[in-house]
Amino acid sequence: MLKLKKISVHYGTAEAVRDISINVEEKDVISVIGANGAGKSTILKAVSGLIPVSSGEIEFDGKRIDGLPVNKIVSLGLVQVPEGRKLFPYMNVMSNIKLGAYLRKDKADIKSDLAKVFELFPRLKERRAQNAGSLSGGEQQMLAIARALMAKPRLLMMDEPSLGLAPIIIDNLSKAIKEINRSGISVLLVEQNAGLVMNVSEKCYVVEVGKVVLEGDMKDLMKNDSVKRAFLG
Amino acid sequence: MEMTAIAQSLLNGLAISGIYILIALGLTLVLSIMGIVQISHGEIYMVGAYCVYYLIKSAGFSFIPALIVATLFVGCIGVFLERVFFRPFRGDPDRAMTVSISLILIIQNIVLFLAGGNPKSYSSPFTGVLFIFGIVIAWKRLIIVIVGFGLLVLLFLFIRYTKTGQAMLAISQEREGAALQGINIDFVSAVAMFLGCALAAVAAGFIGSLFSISPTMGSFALMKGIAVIILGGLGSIAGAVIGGLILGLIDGVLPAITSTYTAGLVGFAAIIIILLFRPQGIWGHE
Repeated sequence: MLKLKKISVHYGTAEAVRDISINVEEKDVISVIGANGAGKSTILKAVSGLIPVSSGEIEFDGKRIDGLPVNKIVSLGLVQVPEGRKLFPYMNVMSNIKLGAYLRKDKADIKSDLAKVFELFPRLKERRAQNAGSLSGGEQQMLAIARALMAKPRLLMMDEPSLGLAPIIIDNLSKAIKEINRSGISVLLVEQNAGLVMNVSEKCYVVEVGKVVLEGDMKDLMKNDSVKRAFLG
Repeated sequence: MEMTAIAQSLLNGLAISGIYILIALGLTLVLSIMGIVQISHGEIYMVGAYCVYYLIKSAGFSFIPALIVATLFVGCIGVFLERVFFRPFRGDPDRAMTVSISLILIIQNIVLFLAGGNPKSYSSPFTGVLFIFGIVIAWKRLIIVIVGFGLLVLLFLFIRYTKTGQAMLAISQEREGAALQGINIDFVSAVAMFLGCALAAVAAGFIGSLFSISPTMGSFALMKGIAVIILGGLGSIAGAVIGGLILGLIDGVLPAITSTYTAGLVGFAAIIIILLFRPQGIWGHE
């Protein structure tokens, strides 16, 4: 479904990631783990088209998407929940959620998706008139996911959704991710939280200083030293 | 002071407020969507006044059609400037500011070359006065209040109820988050620039019907516009309205009581005092 073929990304002259190859198949939950600064967020930004790749190719459904503008990539169903949520702080929950459906014109479907999103996160329904900036960290993460779901993703990319959340909230988060995956949406998860990754994903890539150093099944990887390094920073 | 004099200076103040608000709204739109302090906004405004002038004097338009055509034309100039001069420097405010400063010189000199440096004027078709409870109100000022606040309401409805308006709000609050929802930042920037420049042209068209116009009239407008948005809170529409009302009323009412100089002094003193207590401006965030 999503294929990253040996992509490299540079910020100016500094190399952020080199020759990264990642494969996500339909219905997968794939994780990318690595310490801070390993280049995980850069990978997702490149897929979303926020930064250009300097070499390599990104394919979605067999078509090249690197070089396309961000809004085209979103309209293909490749949607990102960015690091730090990036909500619209002075707009209320409902307006934030509605902006997720910005590119969609199917009014009836949007309505039923809204109902589904509120079913998944009932808390957001209670808070729908409240400004996004006034929500708790956990609620903000729910809202960021809800907003992304309104774009009708086929593949949802999440950048460190557990950041700054209490363990009990992270449990809810992993339930939500499984639920989303069960509804037929593939997930590409960038994380540092070992518990969350082990809980939701079957396959995992380990990134160290801009390169994939290991990939494979979650259970095998957990025995490996560089995996422990990635999680412990 | 008698009732009529008070009412008239209040109306003067509101008319000036209307002009300030229109100018400041454009500045604030461009600032919050494109992240640029558009220093040449005053020149856009000046071009608006000259368009109205030539449409009336050379093309034989009457005032209202001239104002409408000038507004649309100046809006299109804004779209052109966004595409050619500002888009390449988005996310690079220093360079954008330099571009904007050079646009002041370029636009001013083009107008100076084409129209000459002598002040020009045209008259408002809204002559006559209105009597309300024995108070005499000049139509040519009242119409500015009506149009200014009418456009304000329209802009508010546009932002509140249209998709593009909501996209504008979203970009002003979280640019990358907005892009990730599929909002086309290029398109929304062009819309913001169109609206901002068009509003400046409306303001200038009316100012030209009250006072004379000249190629350097933009610097005064820019100074007032910047003062208004700093006072009200950068990037805030409500702030531009409140700031414009305060400064407009000071500039419109005080000269009748004391002198023009006092009005300038009080206006900027008010800004300094308000910013001492609210550094983010009256309606600003953080």
